[in-house]
Amino acid sequence: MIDDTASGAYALGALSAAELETFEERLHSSEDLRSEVAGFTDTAAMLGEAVPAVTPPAALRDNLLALIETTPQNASPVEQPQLQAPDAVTSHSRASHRAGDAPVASLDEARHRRRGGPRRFAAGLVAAAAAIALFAGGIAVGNGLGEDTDAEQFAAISAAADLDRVDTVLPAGGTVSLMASADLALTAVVFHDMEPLPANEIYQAWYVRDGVPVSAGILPVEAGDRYLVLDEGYRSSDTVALTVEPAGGSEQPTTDPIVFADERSA
Amino acid sequence: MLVLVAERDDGSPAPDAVASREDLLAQIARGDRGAFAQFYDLTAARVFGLVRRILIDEAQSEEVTQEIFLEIWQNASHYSPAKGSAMTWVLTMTHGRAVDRIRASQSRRDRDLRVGIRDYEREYDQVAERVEISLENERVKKALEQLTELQREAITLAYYGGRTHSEIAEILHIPIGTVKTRLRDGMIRLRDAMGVTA
Repeated sequence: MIDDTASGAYALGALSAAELETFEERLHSSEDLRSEVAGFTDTAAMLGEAVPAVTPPAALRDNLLALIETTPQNASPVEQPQLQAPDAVTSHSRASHRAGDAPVASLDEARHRRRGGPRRFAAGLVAAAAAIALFAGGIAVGNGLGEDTDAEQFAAISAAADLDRVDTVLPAGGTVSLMASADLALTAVVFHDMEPLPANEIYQAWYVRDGVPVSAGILPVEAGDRYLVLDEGYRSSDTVALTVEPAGGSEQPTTDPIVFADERSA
Repeated sequence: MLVLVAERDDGSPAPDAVASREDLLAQIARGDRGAFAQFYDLTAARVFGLVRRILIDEAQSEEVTQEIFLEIWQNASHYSPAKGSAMTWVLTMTHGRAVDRIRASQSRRDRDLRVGIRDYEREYDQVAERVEISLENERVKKALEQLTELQREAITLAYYGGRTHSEIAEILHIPIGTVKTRLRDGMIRLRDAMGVTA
């Protein structure tokens, strides 16, 4: 029987494959256990460092450098979404539901579905809801990894002892990670592998309250991950939404959004 | 040809390296091959040393080391500073891969189980010896001294011998529950003695 006293064995690699699975399920449900195992894992790594280092043959290095030329890399892992499956959509219905306001199935559709004029944002929302609470805080809207303040905050969130994280696959591809720390009262929204946009388009983030969107900043166009630290403009009842806009951003969203909702408002 | 690396690596970057191991992993995750080469140069000896200690066999050790670095290339994006230090991540992966290889070679395990007590004593002495002569590891050596002998032998069999706790129970002729307790109590002492904060 595998119970919590197997934590030492686990960290030392002494559980069998089947036992590992059982124990890891246990880990998911107990923060105390996770904390203990984290300490043991660091300790075990030190046992690893106690062994004298030995330089491998040079051929090994050559082989590896050749291999990585043709070996693809994997994107960061996606946890099981706590809520709906990736391709499920939730549309918020409204009294004056227009014919063109069907839920958006892909970013392509969203991009091409430009809105005529100002109207209520709540129409045609695609919900990729998150299972963690989002916190307001921070000093400035994230502009990408170049901004010191944002990078510091993002690093702080990443390193937070109480980091809570949920990854959600978006219907159109790409992953959104919501990383929150209650201790720091900060949340970052990280976008992975987002669909690349043409040069004249950008992703813009919005806080949506009572159906009205407020700009939360533009995500940078460079490749790789982009993130947004929710600033003090964010209120806990807001949903966070993402749209495709012309370069420079828009006052109001001009395309249908992809949204991420706070669990407390979902 | 094997070269013993001078025992000065205390985990800090080489003098001329600007990026930390953590930074390098982030760069590797973005496909930076130069960063990968740098990371290899900073960590390969540590990885290979541990794999060799566990597998003993030279050829297998080289194979497994290569597998590990290939996995680092493929899964660098799985690492984040929130998980701990880059070296912990690498060494945890290293130990896991080496142990997988042990588990996969059924015949060695069966042979070793038959040998039993004699085998574990040999392993235990080897480790104690290496801990003696390894200059950088005063900390680990002193910490290990804080364990009971029974805890030390169980942890040695598990970590450096790659044994499952069932195998340890068989070798030592004790119940599995006792093995689990010794491993856990030993790790608690070791963790506290080395000043690890969870």
